[in-house]
Amino acid sequence: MSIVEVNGRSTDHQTQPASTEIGGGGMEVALVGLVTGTILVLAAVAAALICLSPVPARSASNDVPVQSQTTTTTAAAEISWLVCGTGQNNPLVAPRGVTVSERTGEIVLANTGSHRIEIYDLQGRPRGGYPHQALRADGSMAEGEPHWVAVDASGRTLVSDNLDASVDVLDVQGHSLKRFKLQEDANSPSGSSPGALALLADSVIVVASRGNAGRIHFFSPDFVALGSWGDSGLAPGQLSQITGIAAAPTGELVVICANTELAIQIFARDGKFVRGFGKHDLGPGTFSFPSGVAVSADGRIYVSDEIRQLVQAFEMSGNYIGSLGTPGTRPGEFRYPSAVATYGKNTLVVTERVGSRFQLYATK
Amino acid sequence: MKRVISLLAACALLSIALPALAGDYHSGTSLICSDCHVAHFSQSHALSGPIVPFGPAGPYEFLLRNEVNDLCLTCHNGQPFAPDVFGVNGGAARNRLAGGLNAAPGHMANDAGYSADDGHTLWSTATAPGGTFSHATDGLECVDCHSQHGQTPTQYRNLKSSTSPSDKFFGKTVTYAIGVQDLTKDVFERSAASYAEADVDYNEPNTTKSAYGAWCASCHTNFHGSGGDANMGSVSGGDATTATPWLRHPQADVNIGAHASYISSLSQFSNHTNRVKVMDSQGIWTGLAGDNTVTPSCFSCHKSHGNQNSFGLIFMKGTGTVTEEGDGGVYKDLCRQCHVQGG
Repeated sequence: MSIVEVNGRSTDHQTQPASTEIGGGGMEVALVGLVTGTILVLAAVAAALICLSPVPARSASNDVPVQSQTTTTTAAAEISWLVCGTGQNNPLVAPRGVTVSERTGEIVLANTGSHRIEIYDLQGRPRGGYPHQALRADGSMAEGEPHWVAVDASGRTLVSDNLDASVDVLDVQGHSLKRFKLQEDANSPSGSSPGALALLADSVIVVASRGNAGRIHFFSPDFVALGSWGDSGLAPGQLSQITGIAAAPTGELVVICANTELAIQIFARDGKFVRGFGKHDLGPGTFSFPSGVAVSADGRIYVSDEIRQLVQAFEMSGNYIGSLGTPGTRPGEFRYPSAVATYGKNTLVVTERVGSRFQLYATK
Repeated sequence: MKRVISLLAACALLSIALPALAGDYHSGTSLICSDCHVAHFSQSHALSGPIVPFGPAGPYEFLLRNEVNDLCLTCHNGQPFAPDVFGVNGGAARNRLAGGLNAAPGHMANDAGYSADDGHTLWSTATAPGGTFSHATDGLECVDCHSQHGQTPTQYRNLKSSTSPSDKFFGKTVTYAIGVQDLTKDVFERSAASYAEADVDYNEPNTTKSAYGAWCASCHTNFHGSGGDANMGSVSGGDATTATPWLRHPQADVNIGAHASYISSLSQFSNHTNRVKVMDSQGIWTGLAGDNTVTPSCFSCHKSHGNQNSFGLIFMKGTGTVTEEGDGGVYKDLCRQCHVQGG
């Protein structure tokens, strides 16, 4: 996504611009949200108003999405927001994790409060979904609380569920193919439970531990454990309470934690700490609660902050680019953004736990 | 305005210079002022250029970023790093001691199995049963019971306490010890930040009172009491020979099995494999091996936050797998933890 330079507030806008202007450093940039301009996006917006035919591979969805769009014109660009996931038959209730399948371009979203996985296209139209059941400690199955999701190169959906001690591997219809567990961590019982998920370019699966264990686990595409690393703690280079993980185009891993000194930390694949940034402090580029992370194809890091109601963008170097969003219910505003996902360079998806919806926007 | 600026300045200084302590929880390493508060309800404090204000729903009282319950539940619901206090347990603690809260209609959806009044109901404007307290404007909030900033001296779970005679929490304290038992403290936590049932037990520093029960009575005034309280019948320790020995179930002052006339049996209690939580002045809690000082209190029958049973009651029949709802028992099984049916 290209950075848009904005000087002053827009004069022709329907909503308050959800942006901050970050000056100084010779690079006056402001990430102001959307810049629409491609025929594809315009066509998608128009198409979003049309009823959809059901997708045969999943539980069919005839939902007509209730979407609202706003367009903001600034001095430099046109910005559009697409609010999705409202008014559908299976309502979004406290959604958390989200990902975009590189293979199909579909959005896969953890509808946590409704115990479901939902599928959408890149225009935000429902494509189907299915319930997710968790395997409880006593061996019984129960309605799950899917939290983190990922889609592998074969199109299988991987789910970390709050109530399940294993990663569930699902086919396109939501049937569980396999469950695999993390290596036990004696120091932290919850550390053996899976949390955030990511996929590397070679289809290796990356699973972060929950809790204080601060471990990153690796699995082959056929779910064979390849090893793990991570030093539990709060200092730079240490991990604790991992809330998100994303693979960068450089092959590095971007990890966000809820209570470490640096919210965003970049590690080489072998676990070597590269750099970190995003302190728990006041001001731009700092965080209160980093809830989700995604890295775009051009290496831009997006991190949602569920307390500050915004998404912040950084370069891999740690340079702060800008922020998106403010608290609120209108397009471009967030109510507790819980996760982010990117697709290519131009698409960003943000789920809202309290807003019970997700928002799509593309930049140019 | 000056006071607000001074307050915020002081807050900022504290967060930089010293760790801001709030009991064992919400310490300066986990939270800072700006996590929950904003000075002017704006996103940016730039001296020039666009100021991005927050959305239309605020500003909120006490300079908060957002509405209280939603703000608290951002961390305390389904997150791996903080105790999950709402609905189904999505956190680390197995069998939460306090159980899970529920929400009033029109707010966030309740988790499966939970419904309003299965314990404490966030956003509820109802009057506390047995009492007069209600939060009529915003409904029940986390901060109605818990001190979000902590207090001095620290209280168990940051439960509210006050030195103001007009405050309903005036003089109410619930003390605790961590790691090493101290029978002079009301609660024993076996390790820090313990939230599971097995990690916490209740002492009885005063054998005629329950600090925990007295704290609950701050809002649930007449619901239960100690033996000597007027709402209980004014007879300390209970007495079957009086005309009205008990008016309400005691939450202190009466040991299980101490009064055969009330059909409570220590052996009934101690013979269960699964027992409800009780107070004990000896720190044993089993009723076995001469432990005849076990006393029921509020938490014996109710989960503090709630569960999937009505009123957060714990249906414990005495055997089976223990969950936050009990162990698969029914209502009468709770009574039969201590009482012999038909006796």
